Amino acid sequence: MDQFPLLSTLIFLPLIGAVVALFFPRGNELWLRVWALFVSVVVFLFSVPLWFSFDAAEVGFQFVEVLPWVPEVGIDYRVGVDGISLLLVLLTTFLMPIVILSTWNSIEQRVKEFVSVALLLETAMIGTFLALDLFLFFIFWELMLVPMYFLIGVWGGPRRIYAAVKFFLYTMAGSALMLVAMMALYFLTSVPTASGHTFNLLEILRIPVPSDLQVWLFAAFAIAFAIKVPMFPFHTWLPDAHVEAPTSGSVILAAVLLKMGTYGFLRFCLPLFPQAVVAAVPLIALLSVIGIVYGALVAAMQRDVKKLVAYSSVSHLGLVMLGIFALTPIALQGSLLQMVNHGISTGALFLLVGMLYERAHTRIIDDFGGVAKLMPVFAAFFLLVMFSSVGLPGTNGFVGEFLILLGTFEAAALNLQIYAVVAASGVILGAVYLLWTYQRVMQGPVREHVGTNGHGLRLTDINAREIAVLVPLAIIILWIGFYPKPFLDRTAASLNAVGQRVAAESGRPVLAGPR
Amino acid sequence: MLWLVPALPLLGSVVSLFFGRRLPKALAGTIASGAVLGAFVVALLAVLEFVAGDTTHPFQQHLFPWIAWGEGRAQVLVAEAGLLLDPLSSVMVLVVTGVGFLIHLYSMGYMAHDPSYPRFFTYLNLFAFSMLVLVLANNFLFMFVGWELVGLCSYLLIGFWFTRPSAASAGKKAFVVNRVGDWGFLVALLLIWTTFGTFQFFADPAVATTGGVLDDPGRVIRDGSLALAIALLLFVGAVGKSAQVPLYVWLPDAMEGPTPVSALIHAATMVTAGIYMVARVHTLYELAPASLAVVATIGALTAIFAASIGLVQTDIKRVLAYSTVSQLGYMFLALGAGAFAAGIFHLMTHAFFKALLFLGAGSVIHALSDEQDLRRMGGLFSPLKVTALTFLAGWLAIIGFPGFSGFFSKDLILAKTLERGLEDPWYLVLYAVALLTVAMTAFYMSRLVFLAFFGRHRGADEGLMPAEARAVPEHEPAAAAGAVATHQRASPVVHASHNSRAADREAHGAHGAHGSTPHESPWIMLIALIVLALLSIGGGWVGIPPFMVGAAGHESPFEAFLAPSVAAHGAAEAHGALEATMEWVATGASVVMAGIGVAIAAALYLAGTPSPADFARRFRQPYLWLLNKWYVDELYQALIAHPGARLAAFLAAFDLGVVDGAVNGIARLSRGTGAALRSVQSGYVRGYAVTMLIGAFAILAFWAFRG
Repeated sequence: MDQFPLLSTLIFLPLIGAVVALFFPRGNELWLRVWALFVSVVVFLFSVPLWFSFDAAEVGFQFVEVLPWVPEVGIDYRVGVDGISLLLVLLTTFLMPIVILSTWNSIEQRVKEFVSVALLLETAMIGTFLALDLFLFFIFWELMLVPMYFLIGVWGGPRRIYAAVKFFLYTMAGSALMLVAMMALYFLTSVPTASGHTFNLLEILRIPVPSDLQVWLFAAFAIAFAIKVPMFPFHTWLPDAHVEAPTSGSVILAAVLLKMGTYGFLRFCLPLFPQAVVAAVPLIALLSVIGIVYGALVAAMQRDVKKLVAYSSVSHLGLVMLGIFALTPIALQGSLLQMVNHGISTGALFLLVGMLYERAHTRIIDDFGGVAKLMPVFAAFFLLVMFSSVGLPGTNGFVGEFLILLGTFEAAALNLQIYAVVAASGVILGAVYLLWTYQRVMQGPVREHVGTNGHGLRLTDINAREIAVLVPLAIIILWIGFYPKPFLDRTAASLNAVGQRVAAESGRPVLAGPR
Repeated sequence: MLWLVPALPLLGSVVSLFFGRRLPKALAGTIASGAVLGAFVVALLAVLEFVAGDTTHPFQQHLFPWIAWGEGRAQVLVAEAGLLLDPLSSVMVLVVTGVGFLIHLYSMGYMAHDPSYPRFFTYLNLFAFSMLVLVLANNFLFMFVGWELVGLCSYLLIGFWFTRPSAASAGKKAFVVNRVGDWGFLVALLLIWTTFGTFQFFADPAVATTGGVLDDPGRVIRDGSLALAIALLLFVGAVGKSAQVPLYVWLPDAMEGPTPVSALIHAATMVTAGIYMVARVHTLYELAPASLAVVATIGALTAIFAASIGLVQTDIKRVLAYSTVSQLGYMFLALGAGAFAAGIFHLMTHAFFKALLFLGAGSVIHALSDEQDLRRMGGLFSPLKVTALTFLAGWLAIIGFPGFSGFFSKDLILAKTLERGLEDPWYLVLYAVALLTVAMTAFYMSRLVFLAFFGRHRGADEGLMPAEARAVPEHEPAAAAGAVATHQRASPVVHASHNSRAADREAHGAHGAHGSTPHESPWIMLIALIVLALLSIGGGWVGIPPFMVGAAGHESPFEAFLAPSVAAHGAAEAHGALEATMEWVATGASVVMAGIGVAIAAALYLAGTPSPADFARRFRQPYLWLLNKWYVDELYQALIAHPGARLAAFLAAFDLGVVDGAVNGIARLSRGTGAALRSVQSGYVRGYAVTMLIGAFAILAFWAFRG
């Protein structure tokens, strides 16, 4: 190996950390936490060079590592990063230390297992984003489910088993379809090796998938990814999973796991099945717009803050899906940025809700009142994150949302203007449910003792550790809000290539008419 | 250097946010006020430098590429962060920083006893920054940043005393109603992008960019309906921000905020953003004359509608709030008549006198230990000499007393509307409406002045005796029915005094024992009043029309100054100007109308013949309609909020029952076919986990041994 295997280090360092954690003697909770934080910070530090050494002008994959794994059947260990995966990998490595720091006091049971599971999950997530071999991708994809299942099932709320099983089975159902489609792609390839076929994504990208087959393969992939996103009407596992998951689980679920779905569309569906994609635009756009409005309206009616945030994710990711299927360069840029934004903002929202829950042991909106008076610093962060979620200019949310709307409106060839106009109304609804929540929880007469059975707890403002958890997120929110160019620079070339590929292979122009 | 203008208040805001609580109050307030004063000085220098040169070409400063990617020729630039100085933004930036500074100064006195003093100045400085971005931005999208951020600040400041449910509700209402308008703005932005491929207002010869949107948009838009769509969608945004019918409902509720906020944001600056925006993009409106007719009609309708509500309100700030809505209507009428300079002129004089009136009202409220109900005032002239005298200046300005600032600006609007009416009779109707509104304005402002400053002081009276109160008992059925509605502030009669007393405890908790003697405000507040009074008197002299001084030409100096920014192209200039005699007649008409309004108010509230109570009893039904603000809040509640909530509740049930029910149904079905699912399931998961782990280790081992 002539260069340092940076990507493999990112993938397997957490796994090593997880294994080492298993050998910690019992009763060393503090050291386990410190170890987990240390490992996740080191992983993050290893990912920082990616940001700086990544060549934004390069269309293809960078930092590629290839090792034959099971050459007899054409399976390689093949990883690489491009503009589509770069930000998502960085999002993952950036969030993990924050998540671990946030659980400092909230996870008290089975700390060793928790630490191992969290780090194993990090390996799986980074692996999924970086895998360039379909089989390897599938391994990591499935590997994500296990730690997440345990996160919900072991450290979750009262209905954790129900939620965990629902999450697991729902996702598995989609994965099964995806596996079949992957096998089909595998047999379409033909390479001059012993196996004759390969799971290498770069090879698969070279084969022209027959039009009639595209529809079926696209459908198989799309259902797997749509469940993960989740798109309306496949979203109902999400509120249950979020409500029952511990804060750390919710943050990872919302911030990274949901992005696997939208990432899958960008990585596989668009480049592999361009004709089917163009044919599916009206359906996906319709479901996306329904998701935007529906998610926002249903969110407004929730009594549990976590459920509310879960439904808001349905709304936000509907917008991301709309942007992906608008297929214009601007919309694709917006969608990818919005994936990061949603990770930051919704992750932060779940962290904030978790902080409130740790104090009050309730998440029911009506149990609160005037919290901003008791917790002014908390309220300030909540305001910033809320407005980032609402998409206020000056925050990250606006840049992503606006680019998606602009790019969708521009997609004249696909007749998406009306979808963009309706999606823009999601802007209003987003303000309604979040501001209403803020009003009921943070404003109004102060309820000093929050709790259902009389002897509630006194709310105290967040401490230095919690501020340390939130400050990095706040910085990113404002950074992307005011100067998103470094992010957009790095994603442009790869997304342009995907967009052009779809346009070229489907024979439909991305944009219509002259400016 | 121009970038310093928004940067200074931003810096002030950041300083207040992080260090405000650690600094002594006086210093924190001085830093915040100093930041805005600094911005004013820099802006003044920049404007002087600009005026010394060629004002026909705007000066642009490109700060950094904001939403953009790529480098050099391959760069995709959606929008930059850039500033623009031309005559129009010169006027705006000076009004915003000038009036803004005075209000900061005043706030140092007004908010002195509030425990959240640093938070107040953090928000106030952030507002100044946002508003300056709005008026200085050199492209639509950067302007939209300011547009939204002023909305944020408005939300934060209306809900400043957020533990009061009514304040929290009012803040949310303002933001949400504004967002309805922003939807229009947003869709307009999409259309502008697909039509022009840029958001820049003007091309900048210095950097050889391609044409801006406003550099003769007719060269790109050949389709009149496209121009109409863009203009009307932008106007939806303006209607929201500038509180016009039908989206005005948030502004009266915004009075829940501290009074300096009402003066700065909800009278002098933010609410005029819609006027500024329409004037800025007037070339788009001129491509679709129908859009101008819509603007004028909405403006005139709002003017008379809001004035009618203002006739009977009893909360001093609410009267001023409806007055603001009404005056903004005048400005839109001017824009709709194609008299963009007249609209901006009135924007400026209104900023002076309405800020003065609000701050004066704040001084009265302060003096009476936070009494806001006009029925409990009276006789305040002698104890509050400075406040009263300055307030009278504001009163004379707003009713259009000859020589005062409002006289010139309102007169210009009326003259221009009449002028336009000579070609298009519809504008004659609008002119009549505007003329009638002059009388109504004079009436409600005079009523306010007479009730507050003259007659007997009624602060110590039992119950709400004076004025029209007797006509409507406190438990009037209509009002009570309104109060039941979910909207907290449905009944002004019942609730106004409660609110003011709640404000009292919040704002001046440490200062509550004033006793019953009204006391004059501290000098720092009076300075602001005096300066604004001078501006309210003389601020209109820059716009004295030539015919009054016997000069030649048709443009006042103010119009001439603005001409490079807003001179109408083509049509509006072609038609003839009014004859000087016509101008005098028009002026006379509005003065007479104002006189009638003042005379009626004087008869009712100074002489007491007929008594206001009898008057209200005689016209009971109309009176109740006005008092309850035409029941518009209730109407919106019934037509939009309730059905919306019901739809959302239905969907939530649908989601749980049908969408999720289907998923669980399928799961149950498969469980029925198989053996006990639970054992299969958990066994499956565990086995799966083990397999996966082994796989993961295998990968690791493989890599370790191979590499």
